[in-house]
Amino acid sequence: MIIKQFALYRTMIISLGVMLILAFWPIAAEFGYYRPDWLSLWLIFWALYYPQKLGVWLACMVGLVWDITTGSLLGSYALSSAIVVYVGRRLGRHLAMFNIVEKAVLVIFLVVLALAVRLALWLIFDYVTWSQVVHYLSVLLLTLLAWPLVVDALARVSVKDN
Amino acid sequence: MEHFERKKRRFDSFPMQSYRLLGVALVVSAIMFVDLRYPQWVEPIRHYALQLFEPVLRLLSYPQRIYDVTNESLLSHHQLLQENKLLKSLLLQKSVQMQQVSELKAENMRLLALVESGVNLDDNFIYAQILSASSQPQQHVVLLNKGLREGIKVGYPVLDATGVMGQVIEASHRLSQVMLIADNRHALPVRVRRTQQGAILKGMGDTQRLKLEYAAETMDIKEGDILETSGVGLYFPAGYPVAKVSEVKKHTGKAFAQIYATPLAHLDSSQHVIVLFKQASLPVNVQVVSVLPNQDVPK
Repeated sequence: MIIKQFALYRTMIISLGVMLILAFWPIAAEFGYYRPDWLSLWLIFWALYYPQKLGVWLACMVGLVWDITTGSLLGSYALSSAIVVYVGRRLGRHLAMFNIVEKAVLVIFLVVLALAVRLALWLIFDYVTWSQVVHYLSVLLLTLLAWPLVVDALARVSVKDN
Repeated sequence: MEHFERKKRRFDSFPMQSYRLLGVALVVSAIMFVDLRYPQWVEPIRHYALQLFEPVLRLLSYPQRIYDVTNESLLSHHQLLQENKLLKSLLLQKSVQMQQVSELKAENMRLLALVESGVNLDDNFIYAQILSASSQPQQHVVLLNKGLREGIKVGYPVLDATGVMGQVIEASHRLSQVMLIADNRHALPVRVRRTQQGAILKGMGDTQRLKLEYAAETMDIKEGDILETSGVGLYFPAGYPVAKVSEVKKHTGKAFAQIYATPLAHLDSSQHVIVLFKQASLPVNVQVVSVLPNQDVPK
């Protein structure tokens, strides 16, 4: 049992590492807004499918690591991550009973929430301008498109470990 | 039984989560306050994080580097000859221009020596290559392949062949991060080359548009004017071209004019840059009194 639990944490860490590499994979500056929000996808998956493994404090810590490595306003990723995990765990309690449309609506809501909290903080503290916020629509769209791939890949590895 | 208890705990813990979220919000607010109010306290954390993350970033830059090298080695003999010819003619052009520059420089040095100024016109530089843009698209920050090992320090100005690009904001052993002048957190003291009037050039988060702030409504400025570094501040030496004025809007009754400029450096496409090595000398060093050394000061 303990070994199985450890295996799941290992999967969490490895998948986070993969997300970090995907987030930092060098792409041309003009395609900067065409990169999915990998951290949100990781958080939403673990919050919805393994709520007992990912709490708000752990989400906050992961967000803080993201803040430091990306050079963002310290605490912006941390707060948005904690909120997304909190809301995800609350609304995803009956995930097994949700049909595909309800699941999709929930994921869209959580991705929008993550981006909205972060962008609001960046706007307040002048880290981003309104004209740049508009570009985040492409980030939102690509994040939603990437969700089926992420959920499929993570579900395969996590089910095997669990 | 074990499975049942685990499930039970999972549901029972939810009211507790609200308090936890509140705790997170309080801690995050404190961290955010420190980051905004005392950035110097956070600076070492960012530095060590970049240092720790450096091997990963370097490793990630290799696919592009390998692609570039392969691309270059696949150039045909004819293409290389053409390029060589072009570069030779450019070199000749530049050397002719340099002859004039060195004459002007010598004259300038003589004049500066006359007023015993500590200004040194020789700027050393480090050649560097841009590895990648920031993973955060709203930030105009790029990664250079040189760092502390090569002598790069935080604050050093970065230029490309056509103008000022930005400034080093973080450096690890073998990498450094440069904030471009287009970033909306960047501001640079400039002056109009034609009239020598000063203002502040601020980024707007757009690589094609910068805003000139604190330019008086009465300022003599027109479209096409070149803005250059004014040398005010610690790191940027005076006289390097930064931007070209693209739009001037003056509203009667308002203290400041609305002026926009286009950067001269190719912020989007430049791959090779120069990091200036020497700090700008402050105008404080210029001692005007020394021109008249023997005059008695009236008491």
